[in-house]
Amino acid sequence: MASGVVITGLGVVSSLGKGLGSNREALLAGRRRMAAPGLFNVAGGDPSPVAEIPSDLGFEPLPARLARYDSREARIAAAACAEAFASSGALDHYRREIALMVGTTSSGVHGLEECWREYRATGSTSRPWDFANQHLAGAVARAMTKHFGLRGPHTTVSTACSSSANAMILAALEIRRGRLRAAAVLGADTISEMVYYGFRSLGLVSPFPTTPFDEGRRGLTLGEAAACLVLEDEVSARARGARIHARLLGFGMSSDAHSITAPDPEGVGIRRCMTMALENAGIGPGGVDAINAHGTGTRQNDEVEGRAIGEIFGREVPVTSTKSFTGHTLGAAGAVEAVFSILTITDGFVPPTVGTARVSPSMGIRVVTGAALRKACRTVLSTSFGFGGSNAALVFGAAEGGPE
Amino acid sequence: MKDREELKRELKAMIVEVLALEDVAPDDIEDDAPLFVEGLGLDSIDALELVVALDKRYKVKVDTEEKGRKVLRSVSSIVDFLVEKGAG
Amino acid sequence: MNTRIVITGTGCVFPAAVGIGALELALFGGGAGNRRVEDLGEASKRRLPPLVRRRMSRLASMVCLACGESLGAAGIRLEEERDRIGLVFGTGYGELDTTSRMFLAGLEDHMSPTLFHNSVHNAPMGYAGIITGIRGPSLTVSDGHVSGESAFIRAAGLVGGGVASIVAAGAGDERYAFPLFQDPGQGSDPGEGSGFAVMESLESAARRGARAISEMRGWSAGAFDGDPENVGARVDCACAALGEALSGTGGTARSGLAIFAHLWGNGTDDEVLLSAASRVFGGEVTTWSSRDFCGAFPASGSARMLAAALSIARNELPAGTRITPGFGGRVENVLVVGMDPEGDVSAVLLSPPEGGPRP
Repeated sequence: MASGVVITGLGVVSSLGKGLGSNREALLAGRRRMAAPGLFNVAGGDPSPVAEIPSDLGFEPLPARLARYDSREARIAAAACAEAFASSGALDHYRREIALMVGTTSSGVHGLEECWREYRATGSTSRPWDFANQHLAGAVARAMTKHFGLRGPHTTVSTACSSSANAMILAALEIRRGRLRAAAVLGADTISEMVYYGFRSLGLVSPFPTTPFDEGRRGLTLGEAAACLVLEDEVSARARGARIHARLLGFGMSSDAHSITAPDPEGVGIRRCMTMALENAGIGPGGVDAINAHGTGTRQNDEVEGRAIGEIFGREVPVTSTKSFTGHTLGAAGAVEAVFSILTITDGFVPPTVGTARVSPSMGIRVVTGAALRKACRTVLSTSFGFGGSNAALVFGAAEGGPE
Repeated sequence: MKDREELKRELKAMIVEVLALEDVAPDDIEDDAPLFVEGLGLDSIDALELVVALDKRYKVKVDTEEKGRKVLRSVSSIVDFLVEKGAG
Repeated sequence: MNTRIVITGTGCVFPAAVGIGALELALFGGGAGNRRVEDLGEASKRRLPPLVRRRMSRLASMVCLACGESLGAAGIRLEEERDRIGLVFGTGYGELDTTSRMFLAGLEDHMSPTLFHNSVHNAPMGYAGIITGIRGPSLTVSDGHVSGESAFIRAAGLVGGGVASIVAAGAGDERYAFPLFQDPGQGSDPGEGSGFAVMESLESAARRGARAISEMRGWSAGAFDGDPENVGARVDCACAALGEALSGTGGTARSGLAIFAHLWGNGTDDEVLLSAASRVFGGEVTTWSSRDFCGAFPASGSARMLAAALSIARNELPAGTRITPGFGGRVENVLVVGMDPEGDVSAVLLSPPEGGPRP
């Protein structure tokens, strides 16, 4: 008999602010911050906006013994993890025997950019060759393990936009099988020049703040964020009297096998992924109260995803893209949007797709625009479809009871 | 200002090189043959690479997808575009 | 309740060993020493489709060749199985070479979209999916120098969790020569390559009539939360990892056991592993070092896994194995161990498919 998986801790840092409270407020108020990059100067003028974490928010550097790991992403990751651990009380209860599954795409890039700048300026480098060890994707997991003294296994998933959603699925699989009782799932990614110019070279970046599902949409807006969720075995969580925010009812994974950059126009992979998640959760499309879509704002993704959602769920269920608030936070998106999906359940509202005015009629879906939609939601589907075609879908349910 | 023939030769060589086409010699590419979907079977990434290469080499910008589709239809249409822009 | 997991096919691209046949010759005939994969162009031309391979990075090519070979060796009929197969890939450096090229070509102007989309860690698996048509789950993991072992461990999680009954799992890293970092120097002995194994449940193998080469009977992914200079704590962590990989085998795992690890021949990492092995097994253990074969790189666990599977299938240890007097005649069990300089230890236990009680 597979164990249930519940979420007992939440932490988030994004352009909307530091902490669950600030993010919730911004989602309810329809308030977003997207502007020209402040972290670097954009060559050529007329820069596309990004959703940076506000520079006046203070983030502690990592302690001296972990200085080699100190980076923008490590600091925001530490803040999100600290918030999640504090609210869950899991660290002490499990005596730090907690696994850590991380999803990230560009961790370590800032370190590499520094190397490049030095090389460009001087024609040589002062970095030792194993500098890479602390400046690659797997580094944030090692830093957090040592920072919080975690004694469970850790792994880093790097599947572009679906990274932290996949990380959550890995954690859930181990908990269901009884191999783990608790796991922290972390998503973290920061804005960098490489990623900014890279997405621009693909013609995927919107010249104005993104408007997912809008008829006139022109692309994504890059963002940065860290989000952490503490997952636990349900029996164990209830036995210790933990506060349960929501349950992870089911999940689905698939691949497009189509293209590195573009979604399969037929949407076969994403449809399979969503139906797998519903089956895995033991519910039908009618059992879903709201959908937090991948919704990047690109012409292709939104068209393909919109039509797939329309075909499976019809016009009734409200759909939204919170990337309209946070921007596309790459590897962190799965975790950030899981947090927001859980807020939809606990707080009874579906955030709007802010900035979107006229939804493309061709999709046949109902997108929440304008103000947040107040609705009691017991079950929410969250989707993340990655660059390179790795798809993930998560189904969250209310803490008490849930679908019969 | 180069003549059309010279531009065509340059472009064909550039297409083979920038798009890393094996088993295709520049002379194999017909002036008016469609480059995308049929013909060479190039895709949207190839289109983006060509846009970058054209800007780098001839300092011309193809700044929308629609424009790209018209300009990049064939070697001849690229040449027409370059001549119109006074490039080359 | 625990699913039994077997290996039914392998594939590889390593220095001096493009393909499993060449790997066997190199491992058991002692033809090691190279550190760079040559002849990649030849193999790519023969086995990767032209319109796709022209874009692929060197790493992606190595990985897709190894992955493709493993699927063929396992007798997978892609048209029938493509929706049921998963892909798991581990890489420590990822597309570091591609990323460096992007920087060196300049970021602000005229960035090549191909280089950018090739620079994500999961690009090799993206290409593997495009080439094979596989539409099951696809994961890429990056766990430093245990990236090799990690891939197989996460694949076991997918099979055991019922998400995919068949997974092509492997790892790969490219030997990099970046001007962005100082030259590693001879002492660090950098190598490269990619190894893949098709892993599936015993039921799936039986259903397909596929022959199991070896069985994955245990594993552990151990994270070290302390200071890498603290040798004592690292040894404790390594002991726990070895113990957990062995647990569930009913104590039969110590006979005919060898450890396949990356051993330098001296230094802290060796000291940690050999002390832990000595404590867990009550004395010296037979060891083979993958360093001799392919050098040091984060995904070298994939070489160790393939060497282990082959050793079990042939009942023979690779050339250069340090065999202890008490080893006995049969290769019963191989513990594949990965260690990261920051202290993480991951271990996978491989055995012959018939051997040992059900966990």
